[in-house]
Amino acid sequence: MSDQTLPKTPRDDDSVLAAEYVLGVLGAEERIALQARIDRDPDFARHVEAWENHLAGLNTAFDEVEPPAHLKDALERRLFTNIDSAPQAGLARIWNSVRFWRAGAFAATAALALLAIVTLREPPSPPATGETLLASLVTEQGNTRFVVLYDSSAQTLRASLVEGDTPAASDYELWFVPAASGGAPISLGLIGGEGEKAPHVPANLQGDFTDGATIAISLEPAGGSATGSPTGPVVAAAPVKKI
Amino acid sequence: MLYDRTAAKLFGVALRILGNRHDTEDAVQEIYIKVWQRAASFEATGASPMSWLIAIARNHAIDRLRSRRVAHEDVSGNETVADDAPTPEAHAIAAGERERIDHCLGELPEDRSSAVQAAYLDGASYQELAERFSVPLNTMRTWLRRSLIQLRECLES
Repeated sequence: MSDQTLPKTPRDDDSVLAAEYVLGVLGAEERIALQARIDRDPDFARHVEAWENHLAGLNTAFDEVEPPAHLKDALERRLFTNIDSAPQAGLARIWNSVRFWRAGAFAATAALALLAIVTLREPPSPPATGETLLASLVTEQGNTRFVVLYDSSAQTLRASLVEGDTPAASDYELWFVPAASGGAPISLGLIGGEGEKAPHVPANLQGDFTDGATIAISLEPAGGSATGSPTGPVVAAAPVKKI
Repeated sequence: MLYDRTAAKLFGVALRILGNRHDTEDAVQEIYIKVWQRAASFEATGASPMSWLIAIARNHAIDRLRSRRVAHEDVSGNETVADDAPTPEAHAIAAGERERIDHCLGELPEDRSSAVQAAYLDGASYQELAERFSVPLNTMRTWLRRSLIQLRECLES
């Protein structure tokens, strides 16, 4: 059947392999192996990206299908509820350093860029009465991520651990970091906290909790800081951005 | 919000590949969690946001499909090989991309063009394609690889 020999240059081998991956024709084991390769081999990752772009024209053939309404609720529960996960042994060291601020700010910028671009490309939405602020925070190791959303019209603050675990006998506490230098952080509640420990923006802060305000997350003993100030390491910090 | 603007498309992608709503509902939740987690990597890619989201959705749905233990009892139940109907929601950019890929697929023999589309849109594996087009597995591999090289030349020209 093979009446012609396939070209055998390395470029073709990798490019064709990338095409087979993007097309989806390979088996589970091969896909897992190639996903690992994408992470460590930038040249191969570029082939994959090129093929994703080449074939993206076919995406118009996927019909839109309205998902059931309960799906959004279920997703929100998963994103905005602290999953009660088993304590993780040997938790990696958490540093308190300026590098966290940079890491957190970078992730937030990227998340915002995505949301903003998707929003711009779509038809204009009805005018909002308030604004929605978002921060995406990630620890320096990148293995623990948080998403914080504030709806200023409803004055609801939602904060969630989206990846990683809460160490045993600990809670992640959310803080507002005043812009004025030397201002003491003010607690915004615990991630996954309930009642008065639930994430919230105190009434006297609502005027300051606006686009660009900085929030931080520290690791505290279970139940949160007893002193009113962070006592554990700050694991992540980022500005909230209007979306 | 991101979800409201994109969920119908991503649900459609996952449903077409997975073939049942129950799996699709789970998959779509996992897809959005991945999107959150990978938002930081988006800036590094040159893709349009919707293409990037669809790539995540397709990959996730195909991984899920491939890891099913009972493999595809009834391939024929899922055989929408090519979708010729124009899609009303197609935007101008997407329509241009579509025109280009359609032109290049048109240069392939018809059955090979159908095989490429069946893989991309329905998540068909080499094995399923071989059965669907009644050719030996190795023949299907050769067909498809050669078709992909030809497609690449056309798309990059």
